[in-house]
Amino acid sequence: MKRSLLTSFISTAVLVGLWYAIAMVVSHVRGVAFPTPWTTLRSLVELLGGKLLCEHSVYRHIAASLARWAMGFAVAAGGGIAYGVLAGWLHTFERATVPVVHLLQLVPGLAWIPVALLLFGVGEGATVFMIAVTAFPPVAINVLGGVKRVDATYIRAARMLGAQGHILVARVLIPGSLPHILSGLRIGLGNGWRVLVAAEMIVGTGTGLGYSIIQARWTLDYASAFACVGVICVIGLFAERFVFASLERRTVERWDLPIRK
Amino acid sequence: MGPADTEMIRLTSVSMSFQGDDVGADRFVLREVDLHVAEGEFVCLLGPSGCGKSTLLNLVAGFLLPTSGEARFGGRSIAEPGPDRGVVFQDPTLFPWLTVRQNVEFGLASAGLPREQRRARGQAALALVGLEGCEYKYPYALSGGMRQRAALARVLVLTPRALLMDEPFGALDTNTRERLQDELLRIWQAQRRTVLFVTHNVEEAAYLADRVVVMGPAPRSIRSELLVGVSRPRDRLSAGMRDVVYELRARLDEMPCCV
Repeated sequence: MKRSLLTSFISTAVLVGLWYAIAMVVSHVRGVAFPTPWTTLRSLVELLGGKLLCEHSVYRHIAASLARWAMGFAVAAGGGIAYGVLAGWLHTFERATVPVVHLLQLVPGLAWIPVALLLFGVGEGATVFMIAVTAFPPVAINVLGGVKRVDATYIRAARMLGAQGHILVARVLIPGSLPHILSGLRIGLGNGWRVLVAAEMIVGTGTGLGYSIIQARWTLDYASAFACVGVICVIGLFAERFVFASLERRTVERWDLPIRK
Repeated sequence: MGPADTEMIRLTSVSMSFQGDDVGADRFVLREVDLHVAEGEFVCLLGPSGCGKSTLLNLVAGFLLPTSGEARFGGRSIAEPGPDRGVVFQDPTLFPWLTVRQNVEFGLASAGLPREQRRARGQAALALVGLEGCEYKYPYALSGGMRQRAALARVLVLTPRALLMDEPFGALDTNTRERLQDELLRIWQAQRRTVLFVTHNVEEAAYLADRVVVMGPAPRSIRSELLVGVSRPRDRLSAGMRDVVYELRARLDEMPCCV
């Protein structure tokens, strides 16, 4: 405990020191005001204190981004799990579709912008689509792998006990592949959150952390943009550390299943 | 028990082959097997590893379909696994994500039985195998013997017409194994289910079975049968039991080592 506290203190100090050094060098060499950790923190405190950013409070931006993220991620998680279970069960379907999913995974987030605009026009639909489409492949691929690796004797035992169809899926295939499902969701969640900035470029409504970051280009309020990046990182870290860690503790670790790290 | 009793399991010239890998010739695991098990009979399949005992059991369970020949259960052709044939595997294969109680109630829940009835029947099955007090434990927290008890309760609760047991006590220490053999016999005598029991342990086969089917490698899958005439309850150390064990050992010794 003490040791991990020490290492996290050191790594934070290194990060802040490096950031300071870069800010100093950039400010002197290029003559632009690169936000330092200190100005960023001050700006963050101001924002949290209620200062408006792009005409809205930072809380409004956070709420808007979280809502989009949650919606996009829900679509990706639902679709990814459904796809993974189906493809893990039907080999022909898997062979026919899995290259498409692998291809989707290679498309960079920004490249979805024209597709999203063509499909949904400017607005929430396009944003949610971009989050969903980048979060979907890792979920789908991991669930598929997990379902295929469910021990055949569990499936035999379940069928022997009379389980078929949705009972087999819900009580054997999904819990049996939960370690893989959780790691897929974890990666998907991260992917979806990371694409937020790109996704909110086309949101059009004027809210969201990603939107605010892009707007900093015009307002030159880079400190606020940095603060928003910080908020995004903290929220992502929180979801990763607390939500998933506790999910794993309550399921996979409790059942003593092998955990894929 | 004789062949005149009600038929429960019948295999008629059943062969099972798997695709050969290099030369393309199919590898026979079972060849032209005829087997008959009467209702209520306790039959052990005895033979060295790799001679197709488990494959035969999997055919009766419906996990595999024969390459040729016919496997019937209760007069009907076997097409798929089902709760009328309760299988106890060598590894207990309890679902690790379910508690002991949820595991035992799994089949009842799959059949759509309401909660109250599930509870009552599940509890009775747990009591039958001596697992009261472990209802809320997860399988990893149980010993090997307790896991097999739970696996047995999981199928007994469905009142199957036959129990198919694939070396269920093979991984247990001698003491636990013999205790569970006695419990199995107690349950079998109380409920008179048909049991098909796979083992490579001579003493186990002699102690448990009404009839021992000695198996060897294909193409002569079934080598001989032996009716165990010793009356029950049996004494493992009795002279009669020892004679059966000697006889079975002699028959196994005639066989080549299967690989």
